[in-house]
Amino acid sequence: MPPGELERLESVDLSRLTLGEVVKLKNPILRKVLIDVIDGLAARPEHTSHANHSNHYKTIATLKPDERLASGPG
Amino acid sequence: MRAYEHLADGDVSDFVPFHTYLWKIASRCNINCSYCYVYNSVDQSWRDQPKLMSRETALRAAFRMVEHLTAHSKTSCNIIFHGGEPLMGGLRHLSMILDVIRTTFADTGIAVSIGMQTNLLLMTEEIADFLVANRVSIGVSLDGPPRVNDRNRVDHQGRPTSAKLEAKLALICQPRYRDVFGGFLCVIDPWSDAAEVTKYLLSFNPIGVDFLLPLDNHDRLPIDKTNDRTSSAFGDWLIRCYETWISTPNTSKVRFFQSIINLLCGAPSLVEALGLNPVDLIVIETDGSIEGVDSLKTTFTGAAKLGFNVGRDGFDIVSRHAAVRSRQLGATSLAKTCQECDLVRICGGGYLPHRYSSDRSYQNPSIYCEDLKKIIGHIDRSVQTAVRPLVRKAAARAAANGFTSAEGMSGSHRSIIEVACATLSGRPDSTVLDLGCGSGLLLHAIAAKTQARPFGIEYEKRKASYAHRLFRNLGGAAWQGDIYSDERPWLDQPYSLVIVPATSFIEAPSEVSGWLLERLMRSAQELVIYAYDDDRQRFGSLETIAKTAGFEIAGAVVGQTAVRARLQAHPHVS
Repeated sequence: MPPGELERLESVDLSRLTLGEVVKLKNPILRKVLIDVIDGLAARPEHTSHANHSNHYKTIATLKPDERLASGPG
Repeated sequence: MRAYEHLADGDVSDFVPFHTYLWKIASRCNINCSYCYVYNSVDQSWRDQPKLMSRETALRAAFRMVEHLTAHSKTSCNIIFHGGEPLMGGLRHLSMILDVIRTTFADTGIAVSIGMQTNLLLMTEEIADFLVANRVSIGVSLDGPPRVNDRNRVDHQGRPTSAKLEAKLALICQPRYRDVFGGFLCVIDPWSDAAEVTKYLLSFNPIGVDFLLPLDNHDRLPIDKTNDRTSSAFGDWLIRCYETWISTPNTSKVRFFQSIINLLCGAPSLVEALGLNPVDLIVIETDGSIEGVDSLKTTFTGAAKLGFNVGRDGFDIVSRHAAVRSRQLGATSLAKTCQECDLVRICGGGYLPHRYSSDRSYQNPSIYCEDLKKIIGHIDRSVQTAVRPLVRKAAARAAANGFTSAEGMSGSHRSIIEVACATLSGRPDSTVLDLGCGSGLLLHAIAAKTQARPFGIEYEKRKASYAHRLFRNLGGAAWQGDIYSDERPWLDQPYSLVIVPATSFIEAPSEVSGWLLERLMRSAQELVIYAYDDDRQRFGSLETIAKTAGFEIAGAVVGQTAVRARLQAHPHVS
């Protein structure tokens, strides 16, 4: 088997991750980031639609306190 | 090769209206960073700019924004004050600019979020108080601890700036100013200690941090590639930085890394330097001229110029320019090598200025291509390693619940979501109760789609606790308790909709389920009942289960799993 092939075969489709899976992540930073990602997609299911595109390029200068990494359980 | 000769002007069918407007309110700076793309780069057009944006230019810029945003039915936008150093005009100038924005946007229905990117050295308590009062947040340019920061960020006499900056940071990090301190922009020095830089920046507890690759290109090579073009020192630096970020307790977002994770998961990027999302950012120079990407000043003289000015041109005209379109067309505007690369949906071909060469213009991969491959590959492996066991467990758990896969469970949820959303359609201010809500994921998805306030009850404590956190953010709540005896969900309100596992009324003794039926009859305006695969294997179709449980079907069954229902007269309900 070529190098990396096993890894490729076992790779998870990250676009199909669910909140139920990521809330169990041990690393708190990755857990929070992935909760944010999935929450974001759930709240904006039409995220690929240009008509609804907004705010994706928010700069550091406009970040507000409530935009810290969301806290998850644990 | 002309910059955009592979594109033609005019087709704006896929145009995304501008959302973020970078206002260059000052064209001069109080310091002289060695890498500055405005003063120490190829294009020296800053010399022709007025030192400060005038009131008239600000008025025209604000007017053009309202005109454009209104025409595209946009209800919000960002304005970022930029420079030069935006505080060069002091409080009086800043106050004038804000007054113009406030006046022009009054009664337009457009919410404006205002930020400022600053080196902070001119910050005073008076200005900080003004920013708080006017809800203007700030991003601070800082490259790391003093011995790293002072290599490039020096004043006009070449003296270090960090000592003064740290004093200003102490001011802005006071609790009363925390709401306006957004975070840091850090230009990467590949010879610095990535872990030290990262920990230093995180020690100020910023909301966000972003790491920027220096604005070099194929003609003007990055510092590590001048002797060895195959070097990927920036990629190695970013990997160490990422590992430090995820292993250091903090709540700060690192946009570059978060954008890569977002993109790997199919979500949009948070920065224009990554991904293929259309860019909706535009720059207004101090004299009112409009630029697509101001940092293109690092490529050739005039590269950033579009030939428009807010004094005579609207943003709709600007949107037709090939230089603007090229940033909204995704992969089609990239070099062939990039279009054929597996990673293009993540790196997006890299940041536009990084792609430049004098012979092929922007039709090159990023000069940081190998660095980007390294960090993207590393983060992909990092996330894969972390989630793989959990995904396997989820599959096993789904199987234990009677589903053939986690996706099967998700598919059943989709049916319930569809019926629930259809039931709530046209009902503003609705409330939904999910009986046996688990971790709340199903109802959270329904609430996100319908704006309904979510409420749930769940017997398992950990799941109920997680559901409560999810629902609380949407104005709802979850209780840990027994659906057959807990009064708390029923105390305050009728619900627009109650989601009911239909077998609850088959499996429980009638004297127990009768208690629940009474509350449903009293407080549920609409019902959605559902039965999963394993329920149907045990008790028959959803229609059969509904009949046995005392429900009358009131709509089309979706995915054999969920349907709108009504309660029949029930012998156990008095």
